[in-house]
Amino acid sequence: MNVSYIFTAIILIVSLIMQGHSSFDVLRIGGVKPDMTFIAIVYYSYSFGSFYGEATALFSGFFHDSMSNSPLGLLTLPKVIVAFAIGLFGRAVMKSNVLTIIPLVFGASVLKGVITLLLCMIFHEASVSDIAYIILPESFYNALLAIPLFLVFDKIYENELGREGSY
Amino acid sequence: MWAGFTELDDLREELNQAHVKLQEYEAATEDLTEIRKENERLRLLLGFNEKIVYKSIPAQIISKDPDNWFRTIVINKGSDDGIRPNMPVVAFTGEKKAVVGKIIEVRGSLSRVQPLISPTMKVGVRLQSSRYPGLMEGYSLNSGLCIVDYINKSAFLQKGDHVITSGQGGIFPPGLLVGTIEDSITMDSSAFKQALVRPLIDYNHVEEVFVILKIPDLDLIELIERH
Repeated sequence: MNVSYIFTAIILIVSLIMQGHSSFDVLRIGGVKPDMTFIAIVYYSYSFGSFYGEATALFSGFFHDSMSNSPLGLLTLPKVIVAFAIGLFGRAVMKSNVLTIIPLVFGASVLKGVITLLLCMIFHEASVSDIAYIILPESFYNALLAIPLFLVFDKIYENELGREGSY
Repeated sequence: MWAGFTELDDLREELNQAHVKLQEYEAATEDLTEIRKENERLRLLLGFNEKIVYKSIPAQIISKDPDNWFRTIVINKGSDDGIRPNMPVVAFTGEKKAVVGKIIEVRGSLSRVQPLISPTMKVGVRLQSSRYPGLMEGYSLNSGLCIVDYINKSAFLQKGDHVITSGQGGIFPPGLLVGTIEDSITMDSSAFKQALVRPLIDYNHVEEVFVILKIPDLDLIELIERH
């Protein structure tokens, strides 16, 4: 399991650095880029439960906040809340297939977006129009990208999933 | 052979003419330099400090905010290069120089730039054609648009009109291009008009910027932020 912790940390850090690189902007559609870190967090919560998801959300959220111009915790809290919510259901309830992954990631992204919007309205600046310009496009993009990413993660964590009995 | 001699004569004549023209241009350049110096001296005397052209340093964009909620840009120049917070940042799009944003955070060799499209960014602007002033702020991060408020209702707004910085606010020098008008919004309940402006700079594709080494008027900035 220690190896999977290392893999998790590497995946989260690499995805954040990739998202921050200026060449990643070529992936923007409608001005929005996918949140690969969040897709990874959804996967970890979905596959390994609430605690694992919350821990990765906390770690990646703080790292994300340090790279961004956001107040510390503003990007962490939505991730942790969503990770907790998804971990409650997990693979025990939903079988892993495309029909599950798309609404799961879309719904999780919308929830994360709404919480982030509320926090930005309180501690930063945001407007309701961000639902149309940020939340919905990002959610669609995340849902589309989640399918191949979930397949890749399933391959990487094949042994752990077998131990958990979820594969 | 005879043709070669005549060609040589023609070439000699052309060279002499070119020398004469070069001397004329050198003299004109010297005159212009003197006129420019006199102009600057007189403006200094009259207190028109804002007309002085500022020095700027180029910088590369090395990173952008990893998410869609904050669109700040990180550049590879910092306090070691003379950069201070609230210095303006511009970039070239084609041959036009346009505003990118302002410096909000400085480290030794890195700085963070807040773009014009950020909702927390407020810039004093002016319509280039009619000279009416307004206050511009980011509309919504991923819309790529800004909104100019407090425009006099009698101002005629046309799509494509340029918007420039007004120089008020203590940060941006006057006359810098900001963007072009996309649409105008008039509400009967408001005493002012609004305009949707598309910045000239494409934040998805900008790679190199220039930081204008203009010391910000901190007293004025503090006064404006307090109110």
